[in-house]
Amino acid sequence: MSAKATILSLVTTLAVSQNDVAMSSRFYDEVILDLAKLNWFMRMTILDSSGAVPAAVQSFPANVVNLLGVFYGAHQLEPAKLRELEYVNPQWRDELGEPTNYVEDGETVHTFRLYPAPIAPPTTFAFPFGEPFGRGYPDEAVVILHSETRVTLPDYLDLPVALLIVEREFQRESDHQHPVFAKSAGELARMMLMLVQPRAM
Amino acid sequence: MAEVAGTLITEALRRVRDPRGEAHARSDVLTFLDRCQKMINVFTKQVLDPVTVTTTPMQQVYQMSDVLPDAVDIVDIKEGNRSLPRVPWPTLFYTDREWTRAQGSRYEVFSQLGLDLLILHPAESIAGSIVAVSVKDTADLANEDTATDVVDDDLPAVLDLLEAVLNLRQREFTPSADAMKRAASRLLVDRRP
Repeated sequence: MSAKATILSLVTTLAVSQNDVAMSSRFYDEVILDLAKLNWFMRMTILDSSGAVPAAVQSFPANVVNLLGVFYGAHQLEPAKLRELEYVNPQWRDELGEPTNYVEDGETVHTFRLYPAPIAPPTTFAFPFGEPFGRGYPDEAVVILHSETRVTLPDYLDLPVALLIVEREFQRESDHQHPVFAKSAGELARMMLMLVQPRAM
Repeated sequence: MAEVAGTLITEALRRVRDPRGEAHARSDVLTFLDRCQKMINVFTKQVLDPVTVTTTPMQQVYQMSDVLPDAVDIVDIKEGNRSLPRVPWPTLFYTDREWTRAQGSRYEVFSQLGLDLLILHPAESIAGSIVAVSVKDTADLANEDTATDVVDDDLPAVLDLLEAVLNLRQREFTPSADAMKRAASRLLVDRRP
């Protein structure tokens, strides 16, 4: 696995030290975010292990990018739209019961709402294997399946990520701007990413 | 027969008309070569690594970094002599909304999500084992005496890709694009399922 510093060192090598290190660091974060949006890096996360009744509005960590699934106990919940629920019941936010859906519309960033709002606390979280859905995993707990940003990458992504940073670095207005170099680096990076992209899920 | 990294570095430097390594330090070329061979193997899936994984009772979702740390892409999963079909993970939801708690006497299907998650479905109630055959993250090229880990048939594509990177670095854009196209067409011709 390669850390950010390793990839930024590769950027400096490819750019023959003409790059602005601070800008390259920011571009690295942008590239990782772009890959996370394409669901390259995945994880399942337990949202609340306090043992209290799960809140209707759940917030998730800042490194979560795409929310691909929400689970309540054994159920995988279906996404719902705000307008659909308003047609069903204008007071839908006050309904209580076992959640069947989740809604992202109308909620603040990095949050979603369970519908109906849960009323039961989860059973104990002292499950032995510590993985979502493992033996002893409690009912009435909230788990999300999501893509996320990362601080380390597999080695085979080093070059394409470094080249995408070079593309951005030499595209921008600067004393070392070089549009042809930027375009060529971007094309080579995208060809490399096609070689290593994960299969469709 | 695998070649040592030093031979390939010399070849690549000759291709970009820098045989003495004045524009490109040999240590930098070694780093690029290492990454190129890893990328080509991810694509061609020639160097595979069968790993026995001990499964946990009632658990369907595994973080690959925990159970298969050197795996890149899972090609096959075998339970005994039986291969499990690979399915897109939404299939699990459409067949059973409570798929996360489904139990069975044997695994029926598997899914891989992104680079990180492996789902074995349904869960078994006792610990067992499967063999995951996956594309190997090829061994690092530690120095110029280290032999490459990819199969010989893939070395031309590795060299083409390396040539594209070196030409780009020395701002020779047309030769870089030509080498990239050569690598791409070679990989398309050689493309394995």
